[in-house]
Parts: sequence; C-alpha cells; structure tokens
Amino acid sequence: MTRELHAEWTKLRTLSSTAWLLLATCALTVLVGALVTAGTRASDGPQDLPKLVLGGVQYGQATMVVLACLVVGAEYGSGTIGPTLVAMPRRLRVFAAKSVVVSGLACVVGVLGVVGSLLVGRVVLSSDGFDSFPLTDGSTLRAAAGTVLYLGLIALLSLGLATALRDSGVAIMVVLSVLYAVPVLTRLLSSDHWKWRLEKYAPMKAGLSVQATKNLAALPLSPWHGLGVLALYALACLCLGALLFRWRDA
Amino acid sequence: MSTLLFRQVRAEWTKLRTVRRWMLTLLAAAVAMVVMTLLGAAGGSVQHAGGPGDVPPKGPDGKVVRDAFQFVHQEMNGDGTITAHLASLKSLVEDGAPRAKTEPWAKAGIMVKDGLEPGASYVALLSTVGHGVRLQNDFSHDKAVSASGAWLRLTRAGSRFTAYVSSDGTTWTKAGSVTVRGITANAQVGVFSTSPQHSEFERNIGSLGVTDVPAHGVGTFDNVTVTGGIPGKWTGTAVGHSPVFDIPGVGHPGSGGGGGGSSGVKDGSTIAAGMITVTGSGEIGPRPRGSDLVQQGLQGALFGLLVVVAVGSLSMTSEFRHGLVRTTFTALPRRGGVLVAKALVLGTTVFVLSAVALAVAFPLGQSKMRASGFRPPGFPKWGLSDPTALRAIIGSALLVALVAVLAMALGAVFRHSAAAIALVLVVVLVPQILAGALPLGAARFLLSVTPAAGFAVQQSEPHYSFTSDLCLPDDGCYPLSPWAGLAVPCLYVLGAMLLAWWLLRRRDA
Amino acid sequence: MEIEVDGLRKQYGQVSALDGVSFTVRPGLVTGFVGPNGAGKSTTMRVILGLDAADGGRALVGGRPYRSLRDPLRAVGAMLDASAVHPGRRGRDHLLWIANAAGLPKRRLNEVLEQVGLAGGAGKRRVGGYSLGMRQRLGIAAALLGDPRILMLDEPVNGLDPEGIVWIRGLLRSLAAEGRAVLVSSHLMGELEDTADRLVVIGRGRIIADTSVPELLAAASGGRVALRTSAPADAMAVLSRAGGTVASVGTDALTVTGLGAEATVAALGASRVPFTEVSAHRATLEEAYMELTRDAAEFQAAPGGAA
Repeated sequence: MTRELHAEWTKLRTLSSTAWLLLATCALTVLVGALVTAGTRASDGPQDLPKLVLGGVQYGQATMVVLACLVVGAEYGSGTIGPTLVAMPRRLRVFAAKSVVVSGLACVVGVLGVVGSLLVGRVVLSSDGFDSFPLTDGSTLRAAAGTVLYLGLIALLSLGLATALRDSGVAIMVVLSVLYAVPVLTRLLSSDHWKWRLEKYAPMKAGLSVQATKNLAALPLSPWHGLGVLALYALACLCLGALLFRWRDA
Repeated sequence: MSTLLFRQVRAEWTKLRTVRRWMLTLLAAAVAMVVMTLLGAAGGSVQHAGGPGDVPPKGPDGKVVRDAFQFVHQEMNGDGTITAHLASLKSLVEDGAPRAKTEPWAKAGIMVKDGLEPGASYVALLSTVGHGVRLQNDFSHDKAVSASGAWLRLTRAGSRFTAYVSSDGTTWTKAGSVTVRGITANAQVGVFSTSPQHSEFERNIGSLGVTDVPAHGVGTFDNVTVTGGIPGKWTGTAVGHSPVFDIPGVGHPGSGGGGGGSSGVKDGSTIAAGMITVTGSGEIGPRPRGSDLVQQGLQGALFGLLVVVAVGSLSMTSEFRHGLVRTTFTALPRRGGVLVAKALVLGTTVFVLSAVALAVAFPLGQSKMRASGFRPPGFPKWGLSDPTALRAIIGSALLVALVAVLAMALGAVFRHSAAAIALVLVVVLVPQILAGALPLGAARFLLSVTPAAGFAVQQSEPHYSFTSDLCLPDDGCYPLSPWAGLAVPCLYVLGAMLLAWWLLRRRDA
Repeated sequence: MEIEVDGLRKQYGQVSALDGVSFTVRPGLVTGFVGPNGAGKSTTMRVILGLDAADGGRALVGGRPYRSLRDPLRAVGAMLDASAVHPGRRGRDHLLWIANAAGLPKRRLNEVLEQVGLAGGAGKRRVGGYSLGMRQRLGIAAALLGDPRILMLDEPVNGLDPEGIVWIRGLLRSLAAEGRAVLVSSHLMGELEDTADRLVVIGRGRIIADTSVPELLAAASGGRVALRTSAPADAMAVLSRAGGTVASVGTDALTVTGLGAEATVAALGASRVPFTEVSAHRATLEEAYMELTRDAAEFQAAPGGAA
C-alpha cells in the first residue's frame, strides 16, 4: 500500500488549499477557544476548564470537514478519479490510503491545535482570575488526546460520506448539518427525553463528551464511550464509502 | 428592460426546472420541513396540574401576563393626581448572610390600576434599582423616562395619564404621558413595590445552569398625597400570586422558591407616621419567554434551509464547472440580469415551496403539541389564521429563500460549491451554537449581526428588555424583533449579490 | 501484450451502451476506434480500464483483467479525458502523484514532459491556466509515464492545433513501431486515415466493422464506376440493358454499379455511345465511414441538414 499512500500524500501536498485549510483548522481551534475562555469570568461560577479551553475545536472542525470532503469530492468534481483508478486499480487500497492520509493530517493538526489551545487558554485563564489547571493531570490528558482523536474521527466520517455522495459540496452540507444542526435543534425541542437522547447520540455531542473532566456522572455518556459512539458513526460512514467505492462504476 | 428580464427569468426557470436532481432535492427540502416539524413537535410533554384556580392572569389585550406585587392603595374616582416621595428603594436577595447581591429590576413607585385583579389595566411610574425611572402600562409598554428622581407624580385626566418627576418635590418635569382606555373611573391608586427573582447563570459551552433566588423589593415612601376623588384609607394588598406564576414550560430548573422567604423577609406593608413601607416580590410584565409554540412548530424550516443551500449554490457553481456559463452569457450577455433572474427564480421557487410545506406542517405540529399537553389555558392556541403565526410561517419561508439566494450569490463569488456551501452553513449555523458558549453580550451581538438573526422571525413574542428575563440564546431567544431580524439576512443577500455582480462583470466567464 | 475485448455488454437503465462488443488490439499496430458520438467508445475504454464494470463479457489486458494487474501503468498508459486534472495542481505535480502511484523514478517526469513538449516553465504552472491543447499534452504525458506496452487514448486530437495533430500522428506511429499496441478513438474517420493500421468501427454499442484501412475502402467503393459522357440518356439505356445499375450524378456524369470498368467500356463501345472518361470510383475513408454508420448514428441529422 506504500505506493497508494505515497500518491495520495503527493496529491494532498501539491494543492495549496490543503495547507490553508489545515492552517484554518488549527487557527480556528486556538482562536475560538481563547475567545470563549476570555469571555468567561471566574465570577460566572465554577467551570470545566480544560473543556472550556478546548471548545474551539467545535469550530475548527468545520474546515477539517471541508478538507476531508474535498479529498475525495474534488476527485469526482475535476474528474481525476479516472486517472487515480487507472494508476491504482485496487480501489480499497486507494480508499484506505486516503483515510490514513486524511486522518493522519487531522491528528497532526489536532495536536497542534490542542497544544496551542491549552497553552493560550492557560494564559487567558490566569488573566480572567481562574486558578489554572494542571496540564499533566489524567483527565486533562484524556481531554487533550480525546480532542485530537475527535478531529481524526470527524475527518474519517466526512471522507466516508463524501465518497458515498461523490460530491464535495453536498457532502460538506450533510456533514456540517449533522454536526451543527442537531445541537441547534436540541435547544428548541420541547421534550427533555428527546433532548437527552440527542445529546447522547448526536455525533458532535457524543464525541465531545471526551473533553469533560468534571461531573462525569452527570454526562449522558462517559468520555470514552462518547468518543466510541462517534467512532462507530465514522466506521459506518467509512464502510459505506468503501463499499460503494469498491463496487460502483467510477 | 422588462422583456429582457422576463426572458432571462424564463431561461433560468427552464434551467432550474429541467435538472431533475435539483427539483427532487427541492421537493426533498419541502418534505424535510414537514417531517422535521412533526418530529420536533412530537414527544414533548408537559406536566400541568391544571386546576382552574391556576389559570394565569390575562392582560387587557388577552395575552397571558405576570402581575404580582405589593400594593398600598385607595380608591380614586375620576380624574386626580397621586404624588409620592420614594425615600428609599432596596433590593433584598435571599442569598446567604452577606446581602451583597441586588436585583437590578427590583422596583417601587406609584400606580393607577383598574381594580385589584391580576391582569387589570394599569399605569405605573416606577423607579428601579438598576434601570432608572420608567413609565409603564398594561404589561407590555415601557418607556425609560429619567435616570433618577425620587419624587414621582401621576395625573389622570380621563384616559390620559401624565407622569412628572422631580428631585426635590418643588420643580417638576413632565416625563411622559400615555393614553390608557382600559381603566374605569373607579380606579385604585397607591404605591407599590416588587422584585423579580434574582437569577444567576452558569453558562458553559452547550449547557446552561440557572439558579433563581427569591428577592424582594422594599420601597419606603413619604409625602404620599392623592387629590381628586374621595380622601380614603390606605389598604395593603398582595396582588396576584407571588413570586411568579407557575406557568407551565416557564422557569428554570431550581426555580420555584416561595416568595414568603425563608430568611425572614416577609412581603407586606406598614403605614406609620406618614411613612409607607412596601415589601413585595413578583414581576409585572408580559409572560416570560417559555416554550414558544410557534417557534417550535417551525423547526422544519432549519432543515429545509440546509438542503436548499446545496441547490442554491449548485445552481450557480454547476454553470461554472460545466462551462455552461459561457453558453448563458453568450445567449444573455447582460450578466447582472442573469444574476438577478437566477435570484428571482430560485428565491421564488424556494419561497413558494417552503411556505406551502410549512403551512401544511404547522397546524399538524400544533395539534400534535396540543395533544401532548401544550394547550390552553397554559398555552395559547395557534392556528394559521393568527397573524402572528402567519407572520412566522411567511417569515420562515422568506428566510429559507433568502439563504438559498445567499448560497447562489456566494456560489458566483467563489465559483466553487464546496466553499459556498461551507461558508453559508458556517454563517447561518455556527453563530447559533457559538452563542451558547459566548458571554451573553457577545452572543446577542452575534445573533444580531449574522444571518442567523433571521430566525427571530419565527418567534411569536418579541423579547421585552424591560423585565428581568434575559434573552438567552440557549432558550432559542433571538434579540431582534421579527422583521428587523429578517432584515439582517436580507442585507447579507444584498451584499453578496452586489459582490457577485461586480465579480461577474469583472471576471472572464 | 494485447487488449482482448470479448462480448462486452453494458446497460444504462433502458439504454444499451454496449451490446456484445468484441475486438482485439494487437502490438505493433495503431488501432483506430471510431464511431459517432455516444456509440460506446468511451464506455468500452472505461470497461477495459476497470473504471466501469460490464454487465457481461470480458476485457483482458495481456490476458488479465486490468484491476488485477500488478503494475498497471507499465502495462497500459491511458488518457480518457484531458480535462480530468485538478485545476489547482501544477502540471508537474499531476505527473508526480501518478509516478508515485506507480513507483516510477522522478526523472521520468522530465522525460515525458520533454516528449510531449511541455518542458520548461509549463510544468510548473497550475493546470487551471492551461489551454485545451496543453491539457491534452499533459494527459498524453501521464499516459506515457510508465513506458507502457499498451496505449489507450480517447480523442487525443481534440483541441490540438494543426502542428499538434501532426505531432500526435508521428508519436502514435513511432509508439507502434516500437512494438506497442496503440488504441486511439475518434469520432472523425479522417483523423485516423493516415495513422491507423486497423479500424474498429462501433455504432450503437455494436462493432460494425473490424478491418484494415484498404479493405474498408475497397468494400466501400463496391465496384462502382464513374462515367463522363455527352449522351447520358443513351448511356443509361445501354448500361441498364447490360445489367448495371446507373445513377445520374451531374449533367454529364453517371455512376455505374454492378458492371465493372471493363464491361462498361465494352458495352458503351458496342453501342457507340460517346464517353470521355471511365474510372473506378475510389471511396474516401470518410464516405466509407458514413456508409457504415448511417444507421448507427445516435443523433441523426434531419434530411437536408448538413450531416
């Protein structure tokens, strides 16, 4: 699979949009995290500080979704899917290579964004009058590592859906809608029962429960279970994408 | 000009109509609107003990209101004047020993009211702890008249009420006047005091914790004089229940503490040596934002909007991708006209489709919600014939159409559907989510300046800023009034169209 | 190494795109693959390359299905659609990822860029700024990258200027001379007249001819004789009696079918009908093709319209 990986990596590397989108993901994560942290005062009451500081990933993920959808959507859009499959007729390998490259990039950017968020966030927190939080604490590390994985899983979910849909625009719309519209809907629901269910099973809500470091008992899902739910969604999307990619005419 | 535009509109309509995928997607958007509206309406339930005694009061216009305060009053027949000096106004928040906290909306002042029944028409000139002196009447009308002023005077002449404020009791300035026809000749006049519960918020990304603490307003008056009518005796009355009505669907977790107070503060009034001290709790004003059944009954619009974004942007970007734009511009060289025609066709199609879908879904959703407990008397009954509901439906359809056109215009700007779709979704959806995480001021700002502000058109009741109720994005409250809110996405569409027009003229096809 | 196509069938809904297509592309020859638009040329090529799956039949490259080849780019170089390039990528980078996919050394990039005439600055520019002809050359460069034994080019002449057309003819001939199998599709027979050794003509998903160029021409000529005479009416009468079918094609020109040149001259001489010229009619490749595909054209022009 080395050749497939090499080719897919070359494809991504040689497009300037890749670098911009990765940069935007990282910058949005850090900046929005800092903004939200700056807007919170110690007098507002006790906070889950690591979660607060890492909140920017909710917005940084948008550009990651765009990138992951473009990785396969742009191939169909520009027609390079033809040359790709002529050069690499083993489709499942191509798909696997794409998944590895995209999720790998997402994780690298995730690490940068998370480390940046934590460092900037601690500075902002001290100016807000909060006691800072330990970086090496087990729950903080879980939140940090979980956020990186979250970004990787979101990328895989997007890739799978975009492969199934074969159109980057439509795929971006579907993924962003699923991620963002569900929380908006949740606010308006009249039924607490449904709210609870949505909080539990909506991909973004479930996945981000990995960021919690406090009041774990009150969460609908424990941190790792939440991330597990997201992983199942990502896996389902990947399988769907792989199946269609393998069996459908290019 | 008009025939040319007509030709362009026809050409664009043919283009839209003949791509089967787009028409199917638009139909899917309509179906999504209906289905999601019904899903959003389903499953809700409300526990309402629901005896006739619990019927919340209705204001003069028939809307549910809050009307709870401590009133020291006497009868005034016909025209007359009441004057009072508010010697002190204190807010007592029952929160532990050090009473450091104050409720800015604790208030005391003078009032003319059509009887003592909650919900009766009234005019009040009142001073607040944190928001100055205000002239209010009939629950939903408010005017800030002065920053301060301890001497208050209200004069009645028929249905005309004039307010005066003075700092020393000798020089009076007219502060404003209102006409209120609902107060009969036999009115109750006097001094009152009250305070809404003090709310504290803990806002986190995606979660909101509210603690309501009982609070009292204590007003001490002297030099209270009433002219006109028969000189009477002062009587103290607690008007309405206190502190708030348990209106179903209203109130936050943790609320519901009795106004009687656990720390020994009792509502009531004392009259001694020309001094009247009134301690009251409760709120006078419109029904607080609770479950907005109209807004909840139009949730499908959001989903329709998402689907329509794709059609909107693709209708433009596919022209660029397939080089069709060259054909279009060769056949119709006036590029600005092509853009306008596209906007008209797309906007009208989406609007009609959304309006029909929502008009079908709305009554169904309402009857579903009524079946699960959201029914009179606790909740208003909404139908298609209500102007407010109709406004919300038409407004929602307009919003969906506007977003579609925005996506189309941005498609012309970026010439890439992925960029256009992502940007539209981000500016429409992300503010609503971000608002839950940002401080209230920033959140309100975001919901007023981004296209998300347009969702205000779905609200059946505007946010009244003169009560202690906060406009919380977490509750789905949008700060702007319905039409002002809808104007915001209009401006965005206008801006995007102008940019697209400029770029289309400048760039090669 | 050769391409073997055997009984390919493919349906798109109700439309039968391929209906039993069989032919062979042999090494050392340029095989022209012609047919009207929509006849099934591209679909056949996509099936050979494993992009689309056939509903029936098989397409083998060197005896194996394309998708099972170990080193596909060394076996087949293909250009299906010259515009299938990401506009944001530099031309050279487009070749680079393909080279990486095939495990080819980087020096091949310069070699093929040189070969197609894109050496110098062009390779470093984004493809979005390329002209159609440059994209065509880039696509051919990608096809040549793996030094393949088989080349498959779909409409390679599209968008090329006259100089480019001459260049590509020479390229195709030289590739075949090196012993490679070359399959070139076109919807214009004239483009292939001097290039192709063999012709596979497809129409409505069926192979209607699989032959060499001279055979095709002979078949199309059909033993017709062109005749010029000052007495066409007499000539018609005489030749009809002699068993020919005569058609008037001008004031003093006739064509005769079914007699041959010698018999025509003999019959006219016996009846003393004057004539100035008798010649065996030589059909052009274009005519032959029109003849063959008349019924097979997907989009038939209305009678009287320019075909």
